[in-house]
Amino acid sequence: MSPTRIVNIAMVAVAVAALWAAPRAHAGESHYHRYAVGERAGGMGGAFTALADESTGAFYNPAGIVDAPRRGRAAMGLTVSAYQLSFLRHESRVSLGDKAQDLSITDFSTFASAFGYVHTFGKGPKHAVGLTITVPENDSSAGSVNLSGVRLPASSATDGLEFRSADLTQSFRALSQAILFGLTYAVAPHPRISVGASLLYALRRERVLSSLFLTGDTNRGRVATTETLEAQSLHGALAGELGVKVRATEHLRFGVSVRSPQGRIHNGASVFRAGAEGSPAVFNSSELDVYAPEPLRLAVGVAWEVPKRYTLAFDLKWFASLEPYSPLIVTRPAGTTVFRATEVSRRNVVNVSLGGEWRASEQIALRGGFFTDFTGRPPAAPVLDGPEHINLYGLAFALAWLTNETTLTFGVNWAFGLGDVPGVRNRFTDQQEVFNASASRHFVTFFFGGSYSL
Amino acid sequence: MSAPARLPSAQRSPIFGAAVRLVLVGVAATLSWPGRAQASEYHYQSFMLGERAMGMGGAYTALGASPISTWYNPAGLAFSTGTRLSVQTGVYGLASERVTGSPDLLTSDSSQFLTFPSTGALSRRFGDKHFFGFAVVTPDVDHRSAHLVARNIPFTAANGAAATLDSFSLLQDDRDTTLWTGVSYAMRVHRRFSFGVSLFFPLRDRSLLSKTQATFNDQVAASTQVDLSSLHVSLLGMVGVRWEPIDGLFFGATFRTPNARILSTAKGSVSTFDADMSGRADVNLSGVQYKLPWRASFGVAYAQARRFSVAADISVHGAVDPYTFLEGTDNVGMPIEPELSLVQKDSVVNTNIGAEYWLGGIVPVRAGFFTNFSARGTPSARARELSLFGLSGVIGGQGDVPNRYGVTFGTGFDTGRTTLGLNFNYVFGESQAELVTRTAPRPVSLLLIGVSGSYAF
Repeated sequence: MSPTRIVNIAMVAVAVAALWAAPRAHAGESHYHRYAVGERAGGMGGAFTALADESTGAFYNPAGIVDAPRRGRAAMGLTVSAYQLSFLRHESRVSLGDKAQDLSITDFSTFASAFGYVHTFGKGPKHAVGLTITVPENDSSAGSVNLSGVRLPASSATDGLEFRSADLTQSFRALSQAILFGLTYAVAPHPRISVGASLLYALRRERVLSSLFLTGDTNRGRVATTETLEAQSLHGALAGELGVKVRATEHLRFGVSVRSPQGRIHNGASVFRAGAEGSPAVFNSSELDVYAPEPLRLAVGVAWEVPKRYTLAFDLKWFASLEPYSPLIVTRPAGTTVFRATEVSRRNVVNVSLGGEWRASEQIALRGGFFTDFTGRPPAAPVLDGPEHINLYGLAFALAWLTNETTLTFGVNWAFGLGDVPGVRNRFTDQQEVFNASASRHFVTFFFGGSYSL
Repeated sequence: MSAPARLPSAQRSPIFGAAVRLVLVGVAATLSWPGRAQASEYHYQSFMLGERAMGMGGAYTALGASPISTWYNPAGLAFSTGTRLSVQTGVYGLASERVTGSPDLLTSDSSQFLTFPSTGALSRRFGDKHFFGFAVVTPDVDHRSAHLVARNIPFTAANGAAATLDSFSLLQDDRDTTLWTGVSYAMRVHRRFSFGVSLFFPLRDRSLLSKTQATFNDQVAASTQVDLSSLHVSLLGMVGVRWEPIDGLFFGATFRTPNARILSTAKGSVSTFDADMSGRADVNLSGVQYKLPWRASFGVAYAQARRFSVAADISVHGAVDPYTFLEGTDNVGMPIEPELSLVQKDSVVNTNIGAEYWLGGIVPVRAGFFTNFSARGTPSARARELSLFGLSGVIGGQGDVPNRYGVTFGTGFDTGRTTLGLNFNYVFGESQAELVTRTAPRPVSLLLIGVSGSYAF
């Protein structure tokens, strides 16, 4: 009997469900502190609100840049989180009939994480202006899943199609990256107090390509289908930040900064979908609405700093909740909504950072830190293809070589966490069960940086 | 002219044939889409490296006397002073690729924002004559996501019948990163003459997902998915000399050997779908091959310290005999069709020109120009024939030979001991996008902003 191809609604439903699950496994939407940005801050776990005294310090507290070390009028810092290894494991993430497979991803990426420039002026109170470019989030993944010999009984979900032996193969690539461009002004009206303000332009870009084939022998002969999805989006937003730094005593520092919620100013996207039926569909920016908000952030820090001996610092960062929103809505010119991505909501999150620095000698500094990166996703009953819920904990370490005009730092951040993710058994059968499966993430980010005082 | 009739289903088999053929077609589609303005199999200087060198368009063979000389001409290290660390860390860029063809050939705007580290280099002097260098550089990087769709494609089937494909699409996500790690030794054999050697370990990491799909009579007639991940590490050497016959006038020359593979890993799968057979074919890949040709560079420069400099380079890359990029067997145990992953490089000559003028002896202003000509050879008749179902035309521009040009500009501070630089590197070119029988202009551009600095200990 020659093979027969059947492409029906049930097949497409099975394929599309699988298509979305794996590549959307990135954690970016709900975490705020994947690694510590900055040269000195990177080694101190991001406990930098009360210090913020390097050229990229405006990321933590705009008021701190008046204290950026410099010989003359300017300081410039370069930090590269050059090499990031990420590991992800989701138990039973991919399931079809009687077969399930864990999703396991190892990925390697390189990116420039922070650049800062600070210039001071004025003969009375110290004034400073700063420019920062930071990449607080970089999430890249590439992987594939394969299920072979799947048995799937006929059911309403499959429109009566019974798979006696089916094969699913899927490959995907995904990238989610946030880039913050900041302009900062700070002034020290009093020797012990400085205030600062930043205007931030936040760019978030996402990219997904996912492709699968589903084939099998069924009660209606040999069947097959294929699905492809490619999506790219760019989301630009503005935010403002105000900060205060107080040098209460010779060694005691306090810092507070408030970053406003982001307001979207532009968005663009393209989506390409090709199924087994008909010609491919292309959606452009006029039909797509991308939304990637960030909430209000309040950071409070305290530090004890004995210059050229040691520093201890502690931060609390509160991120407000966000009302449910849909990251992607597809409409046709007539205004008809043809797709609305599952709504995302975020709860209140409080993260802590704790860091220390010890000057082993005039030229050598050792730094260490600890930080949390709790998820903004509310815990909820497991929902099919729902998001993961993982709280991350991080450790930081750095070795710095300091001279009067330069610094050079090598460091590493390691963030790790265990949590849960909706897993599913017996998918598309009458025994389908969604449950909380285990999930884990690890990020190792090696960075090196340098700064120059002009 | 009336549109050709659709192909009757009974005549499909000669065209949408065996899965093996589709495996080959998918691989061909995957490999034949040339890179954008940056990472490409056939271009050798997509953007410039180094603080001063980037600003001067890469004309650094004769001029170079800094840690990045490990990359340009190791003999230049012997003219550097003491121990110096040079870092060109933050590189931020915008890469753009568009195809603006007829309504039957379209693509989304595949502009990408890039952020990557570029260069770290260190030089150190031992005694009066001996110098060592170490460099980690990223000479090429490409993270690209693109799709092309051609619609209503007339073609002639194997049995001579005229038919029309509804559409043919190509989607790709390509991450191509190179990282070269090198060490150098240089000796100042005379006040005016030095020589040096470098040893490099080029690493190329590539992750590629590609999907091709043809639709006919409102259904997929054939589709191929290629998932490829590979790592390739090789070794090559470079020797160089630098001569200063009179004060301020410099000549430089280098020769770089072809690379020799020392490590290669690859894994991949190819999945196919057609009217006669559906299934997955795990390709048994044993490795990948990336061959770099020999390179000879010659440079001349005239420099008045902290006043002005002018420099020019000419570099010749040799040809590379045809070789197979993918090594392994296909789904039926046969060696992967050599013609379909065939790489052939012609010899190519590139030039670099740069100038530098100092304001107040502390602020250098630099500008440069460089060419980035393609080494792509003419594809063989067999490769063109197999490009897609035997249709005329090629996939994704297999005959595409874009030549590119770059301009650079840079400025900064240089106190002698500490330098800071801000450089701009813009590369542009235009080629033809081809998808089956459709062609359209395909302008490409790459704008990079590099932030750099160095410090002498």
